[in-house]
Amino acid sequence: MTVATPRSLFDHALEKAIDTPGATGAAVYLKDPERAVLLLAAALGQRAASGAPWPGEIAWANGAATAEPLTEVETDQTTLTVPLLLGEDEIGAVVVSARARVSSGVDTEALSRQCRTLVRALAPEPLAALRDELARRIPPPAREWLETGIAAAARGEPEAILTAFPAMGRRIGREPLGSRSALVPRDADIEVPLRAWRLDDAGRVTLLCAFAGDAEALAREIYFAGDLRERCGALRGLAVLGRTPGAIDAVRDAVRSSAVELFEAALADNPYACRFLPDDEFRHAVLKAAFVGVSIARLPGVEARADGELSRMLLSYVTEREVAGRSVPPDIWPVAALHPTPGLAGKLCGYLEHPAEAHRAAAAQGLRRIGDPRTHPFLDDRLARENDPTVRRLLERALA
Amino acid sequence: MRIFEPHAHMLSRVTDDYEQMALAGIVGVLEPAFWLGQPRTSVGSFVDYFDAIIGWERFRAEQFGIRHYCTLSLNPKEANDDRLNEGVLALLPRYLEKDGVLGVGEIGFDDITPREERFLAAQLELARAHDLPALVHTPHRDKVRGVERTLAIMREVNFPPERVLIDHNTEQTVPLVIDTGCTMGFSIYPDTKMDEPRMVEILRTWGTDRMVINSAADWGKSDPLKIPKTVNLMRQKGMAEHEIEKVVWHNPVSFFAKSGRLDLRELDTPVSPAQLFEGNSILRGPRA
Repeated sequence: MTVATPRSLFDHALEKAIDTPGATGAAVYLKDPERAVLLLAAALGQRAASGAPWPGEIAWANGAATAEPLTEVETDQTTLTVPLLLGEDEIGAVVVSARARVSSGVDTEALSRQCRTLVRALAPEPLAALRDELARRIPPPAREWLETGIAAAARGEPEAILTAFPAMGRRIGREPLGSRSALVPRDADIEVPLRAWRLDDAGRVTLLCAFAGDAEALAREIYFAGDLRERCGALRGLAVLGRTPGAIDAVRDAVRSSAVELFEAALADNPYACRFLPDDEFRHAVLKAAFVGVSIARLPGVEARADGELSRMLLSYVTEREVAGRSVPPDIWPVAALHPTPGLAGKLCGYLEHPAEAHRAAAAQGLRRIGDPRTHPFLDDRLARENDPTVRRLLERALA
Repeated sequence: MRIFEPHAHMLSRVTDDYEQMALAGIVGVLEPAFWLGQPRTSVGSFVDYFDAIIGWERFRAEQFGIRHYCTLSLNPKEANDDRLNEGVLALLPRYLEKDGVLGVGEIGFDDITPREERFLAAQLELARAHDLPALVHTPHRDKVRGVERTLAIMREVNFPPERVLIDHNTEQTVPLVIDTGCTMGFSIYPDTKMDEPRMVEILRTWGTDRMVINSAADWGKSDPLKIPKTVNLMRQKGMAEHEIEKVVWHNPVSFFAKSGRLDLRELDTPVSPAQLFEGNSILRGPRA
């Protein structure tokens, strides 16, 4: 794949955006690194209202009164604002202007997907991104120590990485990294969210990213000689750097383990594991995630790889839990609904009345995917009494 | 009184020992790597042993409210085994950087052979490279000669004495070590090595500076409560509380704190036994 220049990336995204029915123009705005405003990066076509030029900067969100960034697509009469999200971090927005009120029939999900692709193409390389994340969070002596390691890694010295790996927690800390952003592996349209990473994870993966050698093989070697935290770091390294199934035995080992921290590092937010585990092992990994309390929604590609057999396994697990009078995780519903088993629609209608919002929301998402008109009376019935705005929106979508 | 046990091979002890040790006031224990009774036949056995004392054993200690640390090394006895010595030396750089590893040890002499000398010197160099103190075992046979050779090798490789704990001292070796700046360890055993009354006499004769005591409890006839039992006798013989605390807490803690890896706040924080090790608990039966 050739690396596109930002200009052509913007043009491509804007051409797609301007395909929105009734659109007259679209503009990309990117976050100012210094101030809480968005700066104009590229524009195509016209602002409908007056034909006036696109403003050079706009406030976060539509209403200038609030500095809260957008996380959802918002429509405001004649404009449609799509947030540009890297992980959960808002790096900008695409604004679409229309001549008349933007119709509710616009496929905002497709637009959001295109914007995701734009964001990923704009994202910095993982090494630069991690350095930046860490620079803001660790003190200068720790930074210098890490830079020494990065330099040795860049010279292709695996020994430096092998000895730095176990020392990482002591050297730079073990606290949560606290980032909402995500890494985008080179030449890949995928994201590795940083939300569950700790400082030492970020430090370890930084060294692997800097390594001028076979980082995948090194991560595998470290996994099998490492303690729990080193293993987590190696697995997170594979999420970013893994290109072949060569290190999948490390993932297999972690999936077999009962250490939830390790299991989570192997699967949750880890595209490597989810790409290379064979179907039967992937299904069992999804089931174990539900079993040990790791949200299956955090397994990248779970929706693409879901099949009838996975639905059967998940629903069998649900039955077992219900028979024992125990709760089940709500994120099962949208996944199981992709390949519904007999009776699932009825079960989800029941869960629309669950006291927990998360279950009602997940049931509504599931029912939307099943698309069985017989469920509409139950969705209508719930909508009439539903107070939670998120659940309401999902119910409305399921009925649309 | 808080007690830090600076030498106990807990891997060979039962859970009752941990319970008794915790009740007797032991809040931290250091496990030096040593031989296993049964000689090892491959480097892989060392890998599993090191993994066990930095992993499972630490977890097991925490279940009883005791912080567990270790020192790692190729021990003197197995330094003589050519199936093992070079391979274990090659493993150490990676292991010495693991969390909870506070030193290189036990190193030193068993039969005082040329191989033992070579691997003692090589491991003092490793300790220097990893900025760790060294825990030195002294031989059961020809102990005085062993101590002399140890001190000579330390001088040869120019290893700072204040970063060395020379262990298993007796009345004969104290005069050799007392002015070197090394910390001196005494292993209080049921029958051999050193007993409580002799220990109290040594402390009264030579003072408490840089003196530490331990049980060296292992799979042989030994007693993990020897430190608290010696504390009892120290009290009966009229030693001041602050002197006792110096020997069983401040001296060992400040020696191993030279590793830069002994978090004193962590040592003062009660351990929560609620965690699992790789999903396992050693607590049997239903949990709350």
